[in-house]
Amino acid sequence: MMETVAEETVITATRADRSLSNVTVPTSVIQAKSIQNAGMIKLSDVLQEQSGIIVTAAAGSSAIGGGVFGNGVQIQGMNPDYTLIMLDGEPITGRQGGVLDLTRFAIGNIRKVEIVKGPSSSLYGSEAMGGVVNILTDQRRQNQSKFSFRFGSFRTLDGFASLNREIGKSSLYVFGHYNRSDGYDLTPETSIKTIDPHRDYAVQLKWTYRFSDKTRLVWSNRFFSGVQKSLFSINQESLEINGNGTTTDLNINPVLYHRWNQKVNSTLRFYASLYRYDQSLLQEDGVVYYADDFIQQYYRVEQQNDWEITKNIQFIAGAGYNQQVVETMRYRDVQSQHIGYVFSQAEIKINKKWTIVPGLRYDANSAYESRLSPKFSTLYKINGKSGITASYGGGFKAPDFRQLYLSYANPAAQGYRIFGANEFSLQNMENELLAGTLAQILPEAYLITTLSPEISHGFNVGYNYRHPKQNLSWEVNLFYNDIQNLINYLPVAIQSNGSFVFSYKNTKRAFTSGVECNLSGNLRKNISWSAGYQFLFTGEQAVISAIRDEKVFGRNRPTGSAQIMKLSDYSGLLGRSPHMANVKFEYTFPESDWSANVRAIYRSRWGVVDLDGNGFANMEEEFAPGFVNVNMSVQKTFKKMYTLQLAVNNLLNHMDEVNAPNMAGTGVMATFICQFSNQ
Amino acid sequence: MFRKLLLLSVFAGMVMVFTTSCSDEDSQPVEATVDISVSAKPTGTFTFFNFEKGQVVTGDTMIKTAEWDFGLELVTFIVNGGQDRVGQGGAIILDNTLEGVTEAPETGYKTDNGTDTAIKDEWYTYNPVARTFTPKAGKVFVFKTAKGKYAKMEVLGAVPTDDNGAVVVPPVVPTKIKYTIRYAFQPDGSRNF
Repeated sequence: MMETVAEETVITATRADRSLSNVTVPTSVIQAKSIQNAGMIKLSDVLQEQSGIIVTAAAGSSAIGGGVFGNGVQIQGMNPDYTLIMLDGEPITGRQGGVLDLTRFAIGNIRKVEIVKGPSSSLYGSEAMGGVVNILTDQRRQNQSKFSFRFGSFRTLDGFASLNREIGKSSLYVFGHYNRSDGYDLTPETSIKTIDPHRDYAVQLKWTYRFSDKTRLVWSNRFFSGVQKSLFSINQESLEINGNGTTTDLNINPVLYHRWNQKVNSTLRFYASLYRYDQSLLQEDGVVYYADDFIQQYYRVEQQNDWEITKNIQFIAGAGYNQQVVETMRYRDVQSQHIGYVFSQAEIKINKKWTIVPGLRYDANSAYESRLSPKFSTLYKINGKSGITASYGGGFKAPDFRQLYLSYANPAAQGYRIFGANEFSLQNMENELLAGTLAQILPEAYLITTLSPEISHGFNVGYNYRHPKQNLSWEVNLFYNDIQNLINYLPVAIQSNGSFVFSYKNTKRAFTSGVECNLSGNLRKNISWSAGYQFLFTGEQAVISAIRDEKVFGRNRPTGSAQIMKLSDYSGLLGRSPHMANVKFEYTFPESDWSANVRAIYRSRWGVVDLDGNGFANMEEEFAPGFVNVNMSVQKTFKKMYTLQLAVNNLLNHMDEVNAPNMAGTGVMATFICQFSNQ
Repeated sequence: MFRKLLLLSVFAGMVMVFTTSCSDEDSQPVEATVDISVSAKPTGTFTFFNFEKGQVVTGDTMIKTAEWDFGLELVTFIVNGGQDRVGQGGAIILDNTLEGVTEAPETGYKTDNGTDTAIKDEWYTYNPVARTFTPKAGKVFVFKTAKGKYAKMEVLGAVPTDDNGAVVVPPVVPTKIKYTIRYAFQPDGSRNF
């Protein structure tokens, strides 16, 4: 990342291109070069190596749910549901169980990935609570073509081709990608594979037309299709289950840019996205074992204007409207939502050293309470090398379709049922009690009501230092996020078959806080290094005060007697590692086109399950073990056109089927990249 | 005046020592940790436990006797007291450790009266994804037995099993649940543990 310190720009932090050193909120950028040099296939693998980002793996077998719910990102200790993920500035749809599977994104067409940490709902609305990840795809005004072919462990084959062409007033970018793998099995003794065999392809077509110097249209289309094959046995391996899960994803995204004069620019964006996941698993006797069909349509129109009011005041204002339609067997009807919003932001340079950025957004919608999201951030440049940033932001996450409209009965014998808050009916429960299908209505059933958005207040204070000549930089950022109205499922009734009926309610309040540090520099002329560390402290205020009052109990072992818990027993929210660290060394051989890098990440243990009913992990059995993951790669470029790369991933062969199914054992990957440019 | 106060407090102290040692001379509570296997289907086939005998008691018309102190099926507890029961039993759930409860409360025991049951579902959590339920740590059941004596109990564990007692995991549906309970029963009829 250090190769571009000087002129690195970022668009996601303020919705306008700004130099990274002038940005008032914690922001990091991963350049295509770093991604390519890492020698990895999936975006999630690349993100995992960034400071303060944890790629969470969905628990459970890949056959049902696991493979679908995929890998999400945790930023500043916030759940994957609370990070907005965008492709070229447009929200990516197709969240399942709240998690967006990052393995859907090829990295061959990525120009850079921008990550903004902390609440950004003042610019982007719902979901931008923990942060925003914006994946920006390639587009350049030069004739270029690029091919890549790689193969490696688990019979992985991956290839892409891209083409940039300038034709008169048009620029054309075409990208095609194919990937297949046999998947892998961390527990060969069971018939269910950890990651099922899969194959997918993606096509992207981007067309830029310049009407004049002032007006241009960028029309991007992307299509993705992936298939995952499941084959396993149940009932003591006596009954074979076979089937496919198919994901299709189509995005259409025309954007019109117009420059009215030197000081005023406008952007008009249209976006349509169609996502479908269709899984069908059949028993060998033809009986349906499991079926799911999820279709999500998302349409958006948005208009944004940028004014340079004076040399020191930049103003942005915009408005948008979106409609979402979701259809699944798990909802009673086709469900839709409409959201209208307005946003504005000013960047005010008070003097040469001091900048302030206030912003505000209002979201009005059809299904839940409307929301006003403010943000205020500031940068003070102490001198040419160092600066202090501080920000406050409000974030929110709308109740998702599942929390509102789910109406699902687990088809397994003695299955549970779960109802979204809008689908839950106390009258129906009482009728069922009379009919005898329910054994008992629990007191919680009377508390189910209209859901409110989950909201957060985030605070960040940072210091950064960059010495351009020595290529040395370090930054530290403290953060605190107060999250309220967290939506949880809770049991509302007991069925006469003994299992439960669940619904959703705004219940908890929690916080995530910590500090993130990043350092980078040159060891010698040929060796560059970077290191990062995050300390994370999370929890629920109510639990902490109950522990202080000696009202919280727990066990020291799974069937031990209850003990009074002390603050030292409290590990905060599940799924959070208090410590994570990364270190990277890159060696560039002088006078030749060789380079090599080695990267290590560390994640300390994290709570995964609550076995004693106190809501947090306190005994050994409730934690997943920490790990170190080491990856390395070597590459050589010939004639500035051909690159040969060899990568070894997970060198220490860390495997944990239950807690880290996304990490295969040690794998090797060979890549050949070919790039032709002519002006 | 001061001497009088001192004398009075010494006397009060002696009385306290006397009364404590007096109750110390009463019989010690009987402590045990036992496994009991109960039905995992809510069909009304309860498993009955008798604290004095320290074991499960069986019989076709057991529910109509005063031979049991609590009954358990899946996650539903019943007590031997209330409008439809013959015993004088009842129960209270306290937030404490088992050791922390040194004396049974004097009053406040709830009984089963139709759908208003003595023990509600506050003592466990259920995870619908893993399909497991977990007895919460720090829930102490204080029972008044069918014959009016006192016992305190905590549930240490609950394991889903099949009819033969072999542990099962989802998606296999359990027919039994093996509970591990730890209790102390005071045979002398006092409320001291």
